[in-house]
Amino acid sequence: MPNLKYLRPKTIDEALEQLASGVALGGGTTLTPRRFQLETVVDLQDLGLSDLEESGGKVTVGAACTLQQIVEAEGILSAELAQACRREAAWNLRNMATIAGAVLSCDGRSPLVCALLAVGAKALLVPGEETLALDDLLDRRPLDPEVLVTAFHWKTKASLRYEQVGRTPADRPIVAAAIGRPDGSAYRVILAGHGSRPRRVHQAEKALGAGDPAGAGKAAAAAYANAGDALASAGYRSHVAGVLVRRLGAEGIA
Amino acid sequence: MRLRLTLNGNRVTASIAPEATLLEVLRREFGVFGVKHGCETGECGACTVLLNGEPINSCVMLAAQADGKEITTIESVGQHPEQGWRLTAGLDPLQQAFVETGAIQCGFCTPAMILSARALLAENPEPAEADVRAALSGVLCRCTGYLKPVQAILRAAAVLRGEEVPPIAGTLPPMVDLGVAQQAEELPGAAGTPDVLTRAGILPQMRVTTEARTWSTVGRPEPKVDAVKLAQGKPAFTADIEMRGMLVAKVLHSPHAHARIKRISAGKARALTGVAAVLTWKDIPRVVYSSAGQSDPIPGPLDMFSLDEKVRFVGDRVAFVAAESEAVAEQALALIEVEYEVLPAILDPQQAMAEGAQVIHDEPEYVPFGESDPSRNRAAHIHIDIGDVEKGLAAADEIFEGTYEVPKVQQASIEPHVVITYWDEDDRLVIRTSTQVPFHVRRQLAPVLGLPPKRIRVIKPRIGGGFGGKQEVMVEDVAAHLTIATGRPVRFETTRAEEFTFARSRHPMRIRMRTGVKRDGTITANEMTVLSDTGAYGCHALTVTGNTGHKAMALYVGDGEYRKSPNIRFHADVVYTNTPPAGAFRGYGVPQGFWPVERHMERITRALGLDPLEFRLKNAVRLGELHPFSTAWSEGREPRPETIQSCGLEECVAQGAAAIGWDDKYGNSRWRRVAGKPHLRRGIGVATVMQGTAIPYLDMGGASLKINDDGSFNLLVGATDLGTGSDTVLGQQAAEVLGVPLEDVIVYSSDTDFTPFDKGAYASSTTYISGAAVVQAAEKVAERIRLRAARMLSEQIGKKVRPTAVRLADRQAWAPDGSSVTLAEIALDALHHQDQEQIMAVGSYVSPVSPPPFAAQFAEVTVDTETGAVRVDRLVMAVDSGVIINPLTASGQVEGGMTQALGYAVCEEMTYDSEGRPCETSFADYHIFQAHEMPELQTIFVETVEPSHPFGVKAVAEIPMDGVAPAVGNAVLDACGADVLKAPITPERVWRALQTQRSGTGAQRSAVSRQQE
Repeated sequence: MPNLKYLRPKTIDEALEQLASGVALGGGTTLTPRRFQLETVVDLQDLGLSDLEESGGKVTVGAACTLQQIVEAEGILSAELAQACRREAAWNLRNMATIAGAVLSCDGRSPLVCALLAVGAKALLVPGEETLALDDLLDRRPLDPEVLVTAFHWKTKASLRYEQVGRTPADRPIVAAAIGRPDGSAYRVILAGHGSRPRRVHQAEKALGAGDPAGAGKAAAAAYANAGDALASAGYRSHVAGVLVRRLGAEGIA
Repeated sequence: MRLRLTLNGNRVTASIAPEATLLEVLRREFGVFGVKHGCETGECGACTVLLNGEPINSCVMLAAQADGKEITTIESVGQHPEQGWRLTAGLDPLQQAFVETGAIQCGFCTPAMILSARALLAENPEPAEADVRAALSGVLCRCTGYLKPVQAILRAAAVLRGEEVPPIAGTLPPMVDLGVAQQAEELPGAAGTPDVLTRAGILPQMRVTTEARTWSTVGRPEPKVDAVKLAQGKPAFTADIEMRGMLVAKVLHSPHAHARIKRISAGKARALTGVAAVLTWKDIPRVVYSSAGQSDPIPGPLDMFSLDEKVRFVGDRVAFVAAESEAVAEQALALIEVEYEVLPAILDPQQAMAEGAQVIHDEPEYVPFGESDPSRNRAAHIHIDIGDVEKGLAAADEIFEGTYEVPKVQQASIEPHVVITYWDEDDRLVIRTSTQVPFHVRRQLAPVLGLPPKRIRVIKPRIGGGFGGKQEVMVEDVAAHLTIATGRPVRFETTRAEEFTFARSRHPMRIRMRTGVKRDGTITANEMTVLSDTGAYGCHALTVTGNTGHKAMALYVGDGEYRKSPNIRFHADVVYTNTPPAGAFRGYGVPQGFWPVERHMERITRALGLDPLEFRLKNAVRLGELHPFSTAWSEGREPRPETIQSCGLEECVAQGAAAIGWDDKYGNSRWRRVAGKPHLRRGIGVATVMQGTAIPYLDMGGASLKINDDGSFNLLVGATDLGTGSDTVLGQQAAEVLGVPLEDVIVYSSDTDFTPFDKGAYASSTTYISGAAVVQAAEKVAERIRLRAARMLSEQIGKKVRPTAVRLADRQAWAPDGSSVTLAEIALDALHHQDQEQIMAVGSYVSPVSPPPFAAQFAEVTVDTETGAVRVDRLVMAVDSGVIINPLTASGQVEGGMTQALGYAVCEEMTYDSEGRPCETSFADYHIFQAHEMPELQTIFVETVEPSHPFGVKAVAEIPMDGVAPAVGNAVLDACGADVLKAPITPERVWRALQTQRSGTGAQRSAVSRQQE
């Protein structure tokens, strides 16, 4: 049986070359269990992508920043975002899992990705220095092998409110909702708990913009009208989506 | 590739395969066994190490990623303080605190917890409780409920800051007094820190009997005898050994729920380099057996083969492989060619006995037991009629009916199943296994392997949790067959996914209740009808379901005339389905029984407008009364009448109610509301429960005790400590009789060559049965000691001292005039000086009774009435387990049991898709409670003295599983009227129940409601 090939590039150019035939390795928390199905892994830890800083009204988080780095940056980031990060994984995993890994391997139940979508996070890609809205990045999965996410950024003053329903306080959500205002004006309403990724509810955003949290709730319920699976029925998810968005919307407007 | 690390301060290198995880490299290359395997996806945290000072999970990190970094493991933390002439700095304060507070049960997750705590305290020397819980969030524990570990860490933090902490050892627990308001206690070390979440002290509150206060060791919070080794992460578990030439075993699992193997070809797999053996059903003898670890004769059908030409659930065994490495073994599995004839599968137990249903067990070798009838997919059938239920129902003013359901859930011990087998130098097969039943393993495997029991030796090392999942001969045959085939040592360790797909679980059941009640609350008749799903094999099928009736339906006998002559009926069918077989899980049918019973009783009290506590006590069995089922059914033996000889249920209810503030909260609509949150409602609920203590006329344990030159003793017991602390409580009982401290009793368990027989750790029997055997042996040894001491003292004093006048205490034998000789002097005299003898004795015990422990379980919840989300805020359990030998280990059992039962109540559920494939295969899908989401836990012991045991004990291990789910269900009903009949109480089920209630379509009464003439 051929051994796994392990590569650890020192520069981004080297990494891009190696990624042509290998899989990006961040923390390893989701990749390691699949290691017997892989041929080559490219460890990104030496590429200097672990910086987290705030400047010019923008928070920039390197793609290889761990989730724990994000939690510990609570002074720079909103407390709600740090809390969404805590919900994403327990301490041990947060010390290894990277933000890029969490985003690119997320499913619909990710509290962190739900929150990042709500604050309007964008991803920086190389080559070409392309900036992509997180929504679009998720739609592009699986990423082209020759492309690498190097950082995420969002506005420092982006506000966020998040609530979830699960079987226990720390279980992954059955339904979660996040409402963010990336630059203090327009709303972003995100639902999580179902499907392959959290999703945006444009109708709810319009309703909140018009000062109508009840309407936002109805729109959220409609968006999750078919969100049934083995864990919960569509009827239940739809109802709870409506409740959570209405509540968060009303809080914000109050 | 070459790996360079700084490991525990030392620079090390190793040549590794790039795909090796850090966990594999640490254990196999560097022999660092304190780092454990509990899962493969980083959820359980048993593999925690510090990487540059931060806790990470080494199972989800490639070793290559750690190249050049610093790794710290438990091996670098503390050591025993006295190592002969070398004295050391001793244990780390964290380790010391874990030992003192009883924070270590099985110890499998202890190194991970201690390392995480070290990382926390390095950054934050004065953590609040919430910080400690967050630090433990990445380490799953199935034993402790996290309470004592949190207390230990806060205590250690205080010690490190130079603060005083109150002593634990040698103290008596705080007395609980009815009528005195419970003071909120601060956790030691939490003083001044914000947000104390837990009000319980380290020791449980207790009402201690007068006699118990006179003892020196029994009743004291002694640290566990294995705590120091577990705190150091010593290689004490099954997989923690290396053997030259050891092979790795893997099992090929069935992808189909039901199929015949038409053709199986292992040629390509066998030809792979590194493969030592591949076994299919054609290669081994066909011997039918039961995998249930139980006494002879097995009270259930024999319906299993090591490998069969039929598979009966997704995950069932198809072939075994032994190879040089895990990677090669995995490759070999993929090369085995199997052609299946897929058969219709039965996934719904309600279809199992339908006319024309596909027969799951059609093998000619099937050996039925009792009323098992494989042609109808019936593994067992029970019908018990006590009194005259129809007459009782006719006498009722109202009849209440309800249908309830409980899910399949899993023991989920953090250590999976693991076994190592090898031939020793005498060509005897040694089975080193994580088992609760070493003697049953030997007896039951012998015919399967073609070996007599005398050529098999089973060794049980430390176990990382079992909870009944290891009361099973489930993995030992796999490794044993491969050792026979290859002549080499073989290790078989299940993955976490295999645990969820082919290990055992709790029988899911559908239960119908029918109860006749007079308007004054007297129960006139009580009937339970059960459909139990045992899955593909009938292990524990009859006995688990029998217990559901035998214990859950025994609690309520009725009042007045009905006390002498209760009317109770229990009817059960246990059916086969094509799902993974259920088996033994702590509580053993009784949690399944109390969900319907206690939910049903709650609905009755509300319908009749009665007080829930008074109604229960009015009808509950009392001291001096006959256990109603004792003449009707016993687990594998003829039933004989038993009288309840100790019962503290009434006081348990009173103490638990006082502790949780029942009178202030129940029926208080102001308390129910939460200020500023109109959608939230609080609720309070109760369940009263009972269990059993061992199985009468069946369960037997033995003990062997001898004195050593220094006056210490070796105590050999077959009883299997699976982390419960049974070695410790058995040692305490011996120490009390012998008048020595616990440290002078060296306990060894269990090895079929050296320790006397014990049926094993199940049925809550060890403290009671094995304890009685220990006391018997200790009393015989004490008698020999007194005889010799009397002679020595007579010579010393110059006056005759009678042996019966000699008292043993403080390691000495005392004459009435105060003169003494030490046990060391007596030992030297016996072994070397005069009339030499080895002072030793054996004892064994089987009990004619199974005295029930009783408990009152209380729960407080907050319900979001818009979403159905339930937060359990507080659990209080007041328990009568007779006399408590060790308040630390006993309260640890209650805290851990309540936590495991909390999962049963609100979140744990094993489900299958339409093809019979499991939906939950990791801890990500199957959530068990973590440290940072726990409710407050409080334990109160109400001691009674059970006369059938020398120290008055009853069981404590299983009863904590029984009441949490119904108490939470009753609290949810109290909070918002949502009447959930199917566990777990998920948010959606609460929401649907609220919809039903709001639309007025819920019926709490049956259609039948008769007026009194």
